[in-house]
Amino acid sequence: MIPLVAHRTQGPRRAQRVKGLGVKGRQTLWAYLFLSPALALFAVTVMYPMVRALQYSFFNWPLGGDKTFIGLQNYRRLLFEDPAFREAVGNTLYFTFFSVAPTLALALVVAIMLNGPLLRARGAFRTIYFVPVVTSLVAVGFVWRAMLEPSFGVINTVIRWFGLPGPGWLADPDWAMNGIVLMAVWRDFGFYMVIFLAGLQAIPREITDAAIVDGASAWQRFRSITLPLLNPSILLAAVIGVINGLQLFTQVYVMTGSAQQLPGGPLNSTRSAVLYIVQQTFRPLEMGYGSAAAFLLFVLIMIVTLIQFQVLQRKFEY
Amino acid sequence: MKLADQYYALPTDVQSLLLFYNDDLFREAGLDPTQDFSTWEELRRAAIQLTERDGDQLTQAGLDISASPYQWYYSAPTLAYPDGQVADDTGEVNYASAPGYQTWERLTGLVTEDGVDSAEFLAEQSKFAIGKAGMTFKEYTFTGVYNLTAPDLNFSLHPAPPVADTVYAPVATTSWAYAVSADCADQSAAWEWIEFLTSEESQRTWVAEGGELPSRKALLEDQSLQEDPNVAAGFASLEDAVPYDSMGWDDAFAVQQQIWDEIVLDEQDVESAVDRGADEERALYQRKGLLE
Repeated sequence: MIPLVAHRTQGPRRAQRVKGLGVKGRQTLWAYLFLSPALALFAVTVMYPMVRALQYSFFNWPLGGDKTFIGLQNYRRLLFEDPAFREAVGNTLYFTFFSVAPTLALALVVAIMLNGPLLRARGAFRTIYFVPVVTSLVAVGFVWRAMLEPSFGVINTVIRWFGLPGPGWLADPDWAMNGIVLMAVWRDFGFYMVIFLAGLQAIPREITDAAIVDGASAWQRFRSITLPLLNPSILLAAVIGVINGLQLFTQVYVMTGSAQQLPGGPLNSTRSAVLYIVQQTFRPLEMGYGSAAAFLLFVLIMIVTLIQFQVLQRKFEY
Repeated sequence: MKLADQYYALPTDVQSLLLFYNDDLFREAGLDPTQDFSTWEELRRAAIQLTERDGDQLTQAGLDISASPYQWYYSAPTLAYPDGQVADDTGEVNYASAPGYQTWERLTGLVTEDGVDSAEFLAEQSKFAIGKAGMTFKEYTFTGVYNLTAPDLNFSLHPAPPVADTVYAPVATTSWAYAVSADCADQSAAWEWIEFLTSEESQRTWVAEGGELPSRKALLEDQSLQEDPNVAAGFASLEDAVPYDSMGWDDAFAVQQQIWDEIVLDEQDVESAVDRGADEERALYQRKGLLE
């Protein structure tokens, strides 16, 4: 046995001597080799445009005209002289908070219900709740736009059955973003439900059983076992949700724009940061200004994501 | 189109801005759909008469204006100033002065005071096309749109009455124009395409089937194209039409939409909303390098 072991351990050493790379080094090399197609794609489609956008953000560049280097002037204008940009960021943060929090709460409740051992037709319910996620956002947006129509839309019709006046939804600056939030909650909670279901199924059954034996109530089990052990799933869902929320665009574009009115209304109440970037870049064709706005949004997303990791991440051991 | 006395582009898609009546709703309301309105007050009274409600809720708009009012923004102030929306000599935005304030006050008053339409009534729908509005103000090309999408709609075209007390022309007009860039690789092919688009034959087809007005002056005299009274009204509107005069397109509309929304949805004072919008439009032109 000893010579065999010696032979096996000496093999790689011989290779190291010959090729100058250890096992770890060769594994790393192979890893990069396999990763290289994806990395190349990432570099071309993400990194390169990002670097160029950063570069353009320091220029005054009307598309078709000459580029003039203006340093940080675009950033100064965005941060201190452009209330419309601040309003768009505010709208985006409002949407993100008021859509992500209820979406995750609803997804968690539904996931727990679907994870219950007594529920029948669990697969059918999972499918039903997941269907909106795989439906075209544009199609869903148009349907919700019709449903939210204030005078004859189905939602206000139902509200009026109870003798209540329906809000103006997308026609009212005070309600328009709430209409988009409502649609987003309905559409997205199925996705987070799947994440939570996977997390719930990974929690060892023995821990819950032990708590039951110890006399813990359902709420105590949820509060002290399920919620802490679900933390990685909650963190993942929150990070994805917030990043998606901060990139709000399609819903607003579809639900508030028309051939005769620019999206983001009424009174800019639904204009998101991304929509603002698109409008600032491609309407007056100010490529430098749009690039600067895009970079500020990127920084905002980075900061919010880092804060989420700090606030939400909890270490635990089974 | 001329620049420094040189022709450099040929126009197509000529549009004038006209008042469309739903003739059936006019008759139902006891109004005569063959008559033009000569004053703003006449139009206003008719719009009120055409408006129907069930309790507090609108069931028929007297005038479809809330969903797509932008044509009014640019045409009405254009007609109130001899040099249009933007002053020719200074490049200043004209509408932040007395005739402009009056125009904005009267247009928005249709919604805020007379309630002939509401942003919450059939929001974003073409109320006129679905027979839920007595009138609308649109570009001539909508004759083609309505003929295609609402074949049962019985409508007629009329010149709109002047919105402001002081006006210099009855109708505003727009058009696209085709030019060939100096960088174009095949100049002759490009001009051949423009020649085809602006040819008499193409324009006859557009007039007959596309809901367009001709850009060739010679065709305006051709009575055979004007058998339909709506086409005849479109042709007649071009006689004294003046071009919509601006330095922007949808970027300027966005500013004017904001003025409308601030007055109608946010109940802001007309003059301050118009002044703020004019400042913003001026700043837009400065950013674009069109104004000092």
